[in-house]
Amino acid sequence: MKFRFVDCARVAGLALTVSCLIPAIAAAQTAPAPTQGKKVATGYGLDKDQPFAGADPNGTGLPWREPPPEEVEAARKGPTPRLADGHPDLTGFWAPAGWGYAVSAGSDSADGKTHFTQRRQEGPVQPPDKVAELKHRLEGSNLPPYKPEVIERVKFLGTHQSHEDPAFKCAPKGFPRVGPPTEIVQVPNEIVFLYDTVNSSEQNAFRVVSTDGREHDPTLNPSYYGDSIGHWEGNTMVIDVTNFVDDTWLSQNGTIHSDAMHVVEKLTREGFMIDWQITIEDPKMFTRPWVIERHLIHGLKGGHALEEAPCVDHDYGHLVNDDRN
Amino acid sequence: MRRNLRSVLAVPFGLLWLAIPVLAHHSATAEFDTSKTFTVKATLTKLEWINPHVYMYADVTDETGKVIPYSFETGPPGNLRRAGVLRTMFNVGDVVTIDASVAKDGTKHLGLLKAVHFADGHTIVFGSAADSEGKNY
Repeated sequence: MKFRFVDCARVAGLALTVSCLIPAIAAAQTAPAPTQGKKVATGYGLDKDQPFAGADPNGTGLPWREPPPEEVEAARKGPTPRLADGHPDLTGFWAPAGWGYAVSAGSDSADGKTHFTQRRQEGPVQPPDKVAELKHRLEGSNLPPYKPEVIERVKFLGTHQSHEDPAFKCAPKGFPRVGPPTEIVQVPNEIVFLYDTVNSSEQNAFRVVSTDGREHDPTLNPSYYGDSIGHWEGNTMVIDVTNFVDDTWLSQNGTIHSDAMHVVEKLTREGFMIDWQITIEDPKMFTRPWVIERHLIHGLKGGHALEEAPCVDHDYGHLVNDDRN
Repeated sequence: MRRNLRSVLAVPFGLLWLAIPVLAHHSATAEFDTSKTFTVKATLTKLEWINPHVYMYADVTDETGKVIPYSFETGPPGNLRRAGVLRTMFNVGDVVTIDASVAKDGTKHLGLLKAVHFADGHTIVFGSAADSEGKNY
């Protein structure tokens, strides 16, 4: 395989530690288009360390890859900003963000006439190692702890994801499948989570977390993202999320849940890092809670390039097999 | 050398360079036969910059003079933008030459974009430079 080292250098530039992350990213914001001179900002946080579809950290089958530990530690050492009420300020653009696919800056040919997206062109059939990777994703060591009677159903749905995944037909992924927030806006009495979902079937997604002391609203209808009520426990924002519909998945692997699902989401900011943890309980389907933890690193200031994400599926009817990514 | 998702190149600071599928949604192999490519000269008629796949529509005039509408699919808008490909690089009315892979289900006039060649001589390849070696783009 021929690698273009100019691109590798660009990626390397994006991999600097947080202390020099912003200037490095700013310098890397070039993805020239052939002959047209257009510049595309590719260096902001989302482009840094986005997982690829097959990412399977910790055997969870989830596509949210943990950032390198040295970057987490470097980010942790920064100052923790606080609002007037004394609580940590979670406001900002956070990366690596939620669900997403690997991104790559494109490249131009030497004569500048041809632009490559850098995405691999797939062969006519999936290679054996890809098939093995997909199989592995359904057999990880930290998959949701389903009761025995649910496991076969989950395996079937995961294997037939291309035809069974509601999100593939543009239904909302919902929470927690949407992953960690991409951008957080914190004001007194509420915190708004915004999600960058431009690489997926998700529509524009957001959550409003009430922090004014109210209780869950029993008059709300069940929803894809649930009812989020937050409170502070020291430096940790603890969010209780309930009242879900039962037709979303927890990941791309057929991981269904019931309407009894209950999620506790915790965000602890230390410096330029947020420790994000979710505990998913489902007494109807799980034998115990399923806990996921990721570290989010503060992204480029002004990098909140949340893109509009309409979703209209055209090709579902053309799929001839269950090959997935 | 084979290319697959495990094709990585370690770079400084611990990041990996990953080979990435064209389609992030279902696999391209579920819908298209990338071993069979067709090429048409077409006039772009509509651009749909939507998830999960960008679609471009174009009219092709066959040898009898009949105008046939074609549809072409590629990756999602966010991935394309970060790879330096914007909607504004295409215009309805552009006369282009398109290389595309055929649909496995036999649907005529539907293709997975491999390359768009513009009249001024520039080309956008929906793939890597390595993929294009020895090919006409």
